Amino acid sequence: MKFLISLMTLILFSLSAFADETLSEIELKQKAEAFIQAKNARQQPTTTVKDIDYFISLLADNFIDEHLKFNVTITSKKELRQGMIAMKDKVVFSEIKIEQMMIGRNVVFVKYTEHAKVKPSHIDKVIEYTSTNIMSLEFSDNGLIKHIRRHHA
Amino acid sequence: MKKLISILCILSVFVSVNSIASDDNFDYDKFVKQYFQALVDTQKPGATQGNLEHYLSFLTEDVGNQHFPNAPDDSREPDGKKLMREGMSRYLGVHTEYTAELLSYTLGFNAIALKHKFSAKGLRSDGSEFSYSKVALDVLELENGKVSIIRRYSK
Repeated sequence: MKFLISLMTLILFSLSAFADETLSEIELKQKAEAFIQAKNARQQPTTTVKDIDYFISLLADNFIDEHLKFNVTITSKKELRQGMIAMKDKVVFSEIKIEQMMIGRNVVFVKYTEHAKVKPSHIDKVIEYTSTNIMSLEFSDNGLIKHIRRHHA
Repeated sequence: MKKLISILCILSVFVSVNSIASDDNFDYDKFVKQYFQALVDTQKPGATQGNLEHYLSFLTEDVGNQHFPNAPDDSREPDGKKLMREGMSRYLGVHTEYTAELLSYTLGFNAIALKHKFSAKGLRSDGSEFSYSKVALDVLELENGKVSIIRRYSK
């Protein structure tokens, strides 16, 4: 009986230890940087479907992508992929610079500046802009992004 | 959906410029400092119901409070502030020592992320001592100048 109680206690402690396993700060920083790089790669003049697929591969299957300012939420990888592939905007150049990263438990809050020159498909002129935005990236324990909240700036 | 994603990409750049302009009067820096000080005051030894009410004055009535990993629900309930008052009242004044420091913060549209560290000692009801030290990242979502959702990411 004593053995059984000891064993159960050990299992309980082991389970709680696994339940609290989180990504390290270094891992989170690397993953956030990889995400921003992938975001930048999928909005270049030379962007390919492979770039888009790589970007989407960083998201968990049950991901949530919220654009809080516009009250829009995207949850389907298939629709996201189709939308990105079908995008008709002409990109002259696009650069993203990370300004700041704040790291918490399985989350990275990223402030970044985009400088780009594009011709949106619905506007008859080329626009160059610089825009600073912030977003939070919540990661699952396996390192995929499960929740993006775009707070904008 | 394809059109929506296209429009979002454009909106996220151009509409944000207009929104910032309409939000120019809100002093985010001042808000962060006042909010953080009010939060710290509720944790200090001898914290009073007045300190708690002052902190709660920064929150909407239906504030949502999400605390990873144990309380992942971010629902905004009509009595969210009342629930926080009840919860925080239980621990008011239990600390015998408390120190906190705002490490950094960043601001977005109706959003603030603040990283802070805090250490505390206190006494349980049975007289035994407890202590803890943590670093937390709090993300605050704002609505009409008040905190409508608190997301705390700490171990």
